[in-house]
Amino acid sequence: MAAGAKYHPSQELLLEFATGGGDRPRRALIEAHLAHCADCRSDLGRVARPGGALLAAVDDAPLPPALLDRIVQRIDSMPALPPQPADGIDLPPGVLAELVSMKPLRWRSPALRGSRIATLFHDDHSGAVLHLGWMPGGRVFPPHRHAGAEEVVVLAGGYTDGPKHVETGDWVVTEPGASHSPTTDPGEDCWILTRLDAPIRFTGWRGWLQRAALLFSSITRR
Amino acid sequence: MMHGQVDHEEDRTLLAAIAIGDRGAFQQFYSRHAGRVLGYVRQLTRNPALAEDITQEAFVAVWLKAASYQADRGDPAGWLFTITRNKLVDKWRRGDRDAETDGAPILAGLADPPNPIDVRVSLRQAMSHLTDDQRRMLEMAYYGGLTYEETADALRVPVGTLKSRMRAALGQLRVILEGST
Ligand SMILES: [Zn+2]
Repeated sequence: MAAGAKYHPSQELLLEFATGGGDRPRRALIEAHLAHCADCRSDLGRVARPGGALLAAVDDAPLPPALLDRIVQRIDSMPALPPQPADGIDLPPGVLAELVSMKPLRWRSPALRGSRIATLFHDDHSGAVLHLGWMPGGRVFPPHRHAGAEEVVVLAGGYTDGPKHVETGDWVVTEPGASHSPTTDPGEDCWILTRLDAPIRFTGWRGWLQRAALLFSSITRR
Repeated sequence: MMHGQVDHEEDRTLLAAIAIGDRGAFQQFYSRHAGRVLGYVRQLTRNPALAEDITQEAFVAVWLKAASYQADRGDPAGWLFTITRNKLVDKWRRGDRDAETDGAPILAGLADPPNPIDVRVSLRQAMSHLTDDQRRMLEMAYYGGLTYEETADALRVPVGTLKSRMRAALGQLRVILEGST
């Protein structure tokens, strides 16, 4: 594991996280970064502290006796942590905690070969999606454009994206409308967690194929 | 109840035990905190049944997330606050009308707590060093259920302005909090 991440979520995102905001994919992404970043853990501890003090200052409400029973009943059917959903990578506990009662992953190969991606979950309210992605070392992911923002946390391995080289724990943002073509570090599998605001669109011939497939499915669905 | 270093240490020990599935530790953690979590949520929702639901969700999350708690993430009370807020915000998001609140009475209630409590870092004290604008923004972030967009809208400032002011307020709050340890 790298000594520490080079790229971090903004202070605004940490504050949003500390005060319970952000959709589930964003929270899971922050958890993934925190697992690798002592600096952000301590920053988060600081911004959450007023919240802890606030909670400590609230008067106790009388607890209905049945409440604990209900909670214990719920957790009795739950392991302390859900099982890892994929072979080859251990998701940090904070991410796993979001994966209760998940169906087996369905892997897809959006770039046709050399990479795999699976949806972990959708946030119905925000529309954002959290994906788990894998690519072998020394490969180029085909150029593609993001309609919405993309946020990535590198779980293992590393890659080069334009002028940036990122490694385990790094938080990488691709602005809406930007195109890129990351290249994974040689000799090492690369695993990423990705939060997407909107579906990605391939450029070049893959984009043409993707649009054709979309058109085809929209015609056949009628 | 005492609030201080010892308190947090005991919570840390309990969380470590919960992380490996210790139900006894979980019940202890629950009896130490659930009353205040329910009290806090009740102030924000004013619907007893809903407040119990949210408290239930929060403690189920404690069970699932204990393994992700690390001592350098700050004190367990702050961690529990974040989890409680998660569950509240989720309810607000799902458009649960009963979970909505106008915020003002809560602020009034908390601005003047009934008992002076010995907390190492008093939020109120920290906030008294901020400008009115900064305080209002942080209050909304910590007490209300609003997104940046909604907060900006409520304060009638552009989102960009809100974010930069929030950053400044946060920076100041951090200096104050650091100075108090
Ligand atoms: Zn960081």
